[in-house]
Amino acid sequence: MLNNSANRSKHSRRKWFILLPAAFLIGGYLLLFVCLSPVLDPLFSAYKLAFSGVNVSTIDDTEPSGSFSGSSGLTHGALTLDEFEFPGYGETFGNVTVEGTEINAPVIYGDSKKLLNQGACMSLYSHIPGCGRGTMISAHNNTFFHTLQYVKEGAEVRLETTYGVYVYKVYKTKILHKDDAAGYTKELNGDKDELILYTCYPNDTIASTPKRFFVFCEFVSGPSVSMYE
Amino acid sequence: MKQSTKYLRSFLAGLLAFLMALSVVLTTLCSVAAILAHSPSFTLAVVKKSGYVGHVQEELKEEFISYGKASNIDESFFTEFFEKELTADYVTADTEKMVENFFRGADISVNTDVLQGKLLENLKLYAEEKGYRMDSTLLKNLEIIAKELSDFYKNYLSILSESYFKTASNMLVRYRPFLLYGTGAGLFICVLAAVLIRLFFKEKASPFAFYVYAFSGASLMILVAPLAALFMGVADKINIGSAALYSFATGMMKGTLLSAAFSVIVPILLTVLFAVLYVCASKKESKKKTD
Repeated sequence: MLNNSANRSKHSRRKWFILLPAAFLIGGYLLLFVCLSPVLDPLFSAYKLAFSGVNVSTIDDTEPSGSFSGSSGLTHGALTLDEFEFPGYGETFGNVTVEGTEINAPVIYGDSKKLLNQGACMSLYSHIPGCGRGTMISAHNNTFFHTLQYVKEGAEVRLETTYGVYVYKVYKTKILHKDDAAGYTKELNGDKDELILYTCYPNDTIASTPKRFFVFCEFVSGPSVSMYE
Repeated sequence: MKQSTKYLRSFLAGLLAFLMALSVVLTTLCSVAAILAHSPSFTLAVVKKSGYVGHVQEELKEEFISYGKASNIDESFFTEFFEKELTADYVTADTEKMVENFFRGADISVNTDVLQGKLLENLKLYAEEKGYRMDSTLLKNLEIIAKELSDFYKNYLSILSESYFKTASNMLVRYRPFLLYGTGAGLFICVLAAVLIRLFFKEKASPFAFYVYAFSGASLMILVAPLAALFMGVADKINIGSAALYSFATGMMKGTLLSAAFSVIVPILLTVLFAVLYVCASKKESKKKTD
């Protein structure tokens, strides 16, 4: 009888070796929760802001997609939004050549540092060719637009895109400070098709220059695109 | 002793054991934090293991090449410069100096005079090779480029000189002693609770049982949160767009969580010790009773 009582006491003791530590675990975290409850909401909001998973592992740092496969060949007429595919960010959607220079560069939609290493880039602050507003394309002065500053007024600029072929004529060039947006805003946001090409200036020396060489080209031919009606 | 008195005694001893568990958790976490806060070697180990230096080099190289393309400098110049001058060892040495100064609360900005000098020297050679006329205008341009590239390097490397890290560095130096006070306080409360539990019981086995409850409870408390955070990949979700800073930050968080989880070794050892003592004391007492 004495043994049975001792065994019962032993079993009772053993269960406390599991129950009590588990109870301490729950009690400890409950206590922490109670102590932190006045600041729990702001803490949780701060956590959600800082740890939402948007980081270098998940951000899609777009590489240029593919190469320019050629133009539809359309040189006039009108296209509705259903009749052509709007280029995607990072897409190589065209090619530009400038008469009197060695420029023959792929044109990419978007202009990050990575994209500028791969071709001439169309600024997202401008408009696609054919939509009746300004199109702005830039490239580095020691690669794709190395000979841009030698362009002459009246030179033909040919911009082939996936949906049509556009021809422009250079009517003026300007050297502006990189922050001087007033120097090109009128042409960029005006109500006629224009092409603006630019690159760092000068290119015949080694310099971290704040200047940019702008080439303004008026529209000659190409299909129109109904974007803003 | 009446049964109700025995239950009350056990209940009070249980509460003291809970207090003991909390104080063990406080002692363990404060001592781990004090060790990490006093030692730059943990941070340097994270820097090396996380591949931070490699990422910094890659990002810097991309930045330099992009800058070069706007300044009429070929990519090959920078590829060679990174191979010969701005090597991983160079970046690691600067990072080590910066981390050590961070822990001392000293100036953590990177000195770029040597780098600027090397850049200028190499740029001059490059300009000569390319056949540019070395007039005063070109020399001035090269000096500006060398300065601007050195500033890029300084900004990239100076992760710890952001204002919030500077604040953290000042707070670390100011509040580090409190971690030691916390460790001392936790230890004192633990010992006091242990002594009180011992005084509650005449026999030796019962207090040992409560010490086992306390240390095993503390072990669970210390282990669960860091393991849960590691398992859920909390560190990987941090919002940082730079690969270098991301690898450093996730490395620090995971290292800290692992350190906290490994610190459970001391309470576990104490649990085992007191469990053995409890078993020996129980056997001795039951032998005495049968005798």
